[in-house]
Amino acid sequence: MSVRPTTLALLLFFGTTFLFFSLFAPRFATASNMENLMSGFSFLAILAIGQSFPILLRGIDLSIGAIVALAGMVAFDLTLIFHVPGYLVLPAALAAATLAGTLNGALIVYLRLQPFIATLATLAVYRGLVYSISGRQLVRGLSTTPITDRWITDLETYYDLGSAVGLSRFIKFPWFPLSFFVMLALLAVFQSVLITTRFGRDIYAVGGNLEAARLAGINTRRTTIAAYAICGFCAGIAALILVARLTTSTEALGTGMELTAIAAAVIGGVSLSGGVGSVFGPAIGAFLLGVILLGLTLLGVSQFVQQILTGAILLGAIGYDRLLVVRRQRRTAVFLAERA
Amino acid sequence: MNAVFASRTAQADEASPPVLSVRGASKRFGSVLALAGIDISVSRGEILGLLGDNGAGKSTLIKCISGVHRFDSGSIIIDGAITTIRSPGEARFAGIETVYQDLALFDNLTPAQNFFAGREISGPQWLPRGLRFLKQRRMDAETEALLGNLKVTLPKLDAVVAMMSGGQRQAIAVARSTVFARKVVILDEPTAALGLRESRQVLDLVATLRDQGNAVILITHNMEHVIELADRAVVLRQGRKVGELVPTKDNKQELVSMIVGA
Repeated sequence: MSVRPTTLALLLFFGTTFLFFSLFAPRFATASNMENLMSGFSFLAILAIGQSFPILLRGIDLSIGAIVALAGMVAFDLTLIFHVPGYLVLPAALAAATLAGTLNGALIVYLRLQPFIATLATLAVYRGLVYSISGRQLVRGLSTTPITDRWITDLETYYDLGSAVGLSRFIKFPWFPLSFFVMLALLAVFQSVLITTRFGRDIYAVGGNLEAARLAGINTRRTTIAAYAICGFCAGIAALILVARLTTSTEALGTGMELTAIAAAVIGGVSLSGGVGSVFGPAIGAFLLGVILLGLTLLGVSQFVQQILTGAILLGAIGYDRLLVVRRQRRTAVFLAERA
Repeated sequence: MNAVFASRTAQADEASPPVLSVRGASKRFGSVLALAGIDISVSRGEILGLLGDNGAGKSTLIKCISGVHRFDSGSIIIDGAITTIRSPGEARFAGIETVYQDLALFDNLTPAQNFFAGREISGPQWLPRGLRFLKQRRMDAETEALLGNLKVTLPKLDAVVAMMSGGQRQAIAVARSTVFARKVVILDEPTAALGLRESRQVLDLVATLRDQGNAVILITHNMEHVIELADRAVVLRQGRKVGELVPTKDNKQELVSMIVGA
């Protein structure tokens, strides 16, 4: 797969940006800032990893922000209204998110909807559902009650790896949030699924040429539904991390995150034309966005300018993706012309 | 690899019964009668040319045989047994491979990945299908061996096919069908988008396919190719079979008039 040069370029860009801010942004290269980076963007990397699957199929999932809120609200209601123990709340919230993703896939496959349209619709549906099941609205006083179940709140744990390996004697070493390791685990699992298993190959085949995949006997429907289910599952994980951090959930949780996740995936080299990319790139892409946002903040650049810059980076990534596609087409055309 | 070729050694015996025959095939799309009671048959080691103008029903016929559409009536008989083919997967299972006109290749995958798309060599067997691990090195090796066998040369085996020329792509598509075809290979205008030299390469490949004992159904508009390669030619017009003969240089004019109906 032709992901390597792109991934290398991405890593290089990440390294350069990191170095730039380390040199020029005050307090960027500090342990506490690294903690901010890891805890503030691991869940975004998880969303981007999930989002890669629909994009690899030449689709998109606009509803993940709403799925984050849905899973968050399921966890909120179960814990605070029904007093369900945390070890049951976690799988229930994940199941709700995965189900929402599966529904997206089913709509796309069985009603033959454009992924953009289908998930735009479910974005509204899921967000509306969140408001209608919100325990904050249904039960008085719950909106100010924090979630205290250890199963959930312990997701927000930090590990002092520096002391564990003895590095803290030399430098101040950042503490690693659990969410960072969750992200690494998901990354390892989904990357190896994509590269080494038949399901992964099916994803690339369906994303590269849907009709050919069907003719090759690949179950394109099941593959598509599974991809959106994975995307929903990742949104569920991200939701739990957020709920653990906030010790509550809100109806607006996750608003706008779908766009950041899509940006991270595209910056990470997942082609919007499908079939090209991996989940490693999107994870890097998410942290690249994080480095840029944190760095600019430390440099004193205003929030609004930061948004403009984020948009510009996204445009650059999409432009680069287009360039690769066009160049490939042109090369094929030239080949044909020469031979004819 | 040996196992793949072993099935082809008992082959090409002139009087062999047809490996595939279609009897009384009809197909209707709304008010359009696409096929009206077609009979065709093809034997091992034989190339059957399927001719006809645009809209004559050639593509519909082969799409029904390869499981994309289904006949409204009529039967498909494979090695003497009536067989129902409901999907492309079932056609493959029955030993029928098809190379489509619009090149059903995956641009984002390498030749080996294209070859094995949908039927990768993987294991262990106790895992659910989707989670089985790909045996990529073995698939690469088999692809290389097979391409060598068919005398197809590609510049780089680990490049994605988007980087390759039209002829190379067509060669990959045709070669892919040979990996798995156990009985019949259907080629829908394999030289349509190719230049002279590339057409030559593909036509040689088609001859190799026959020599290895496959039954080949070749759809083409090119009379020269039919005369050169086909052992028999069937002509369709407006969904009906209007003729069947052995194409030679002398009856080329007759063939052409059958096709256009003049």
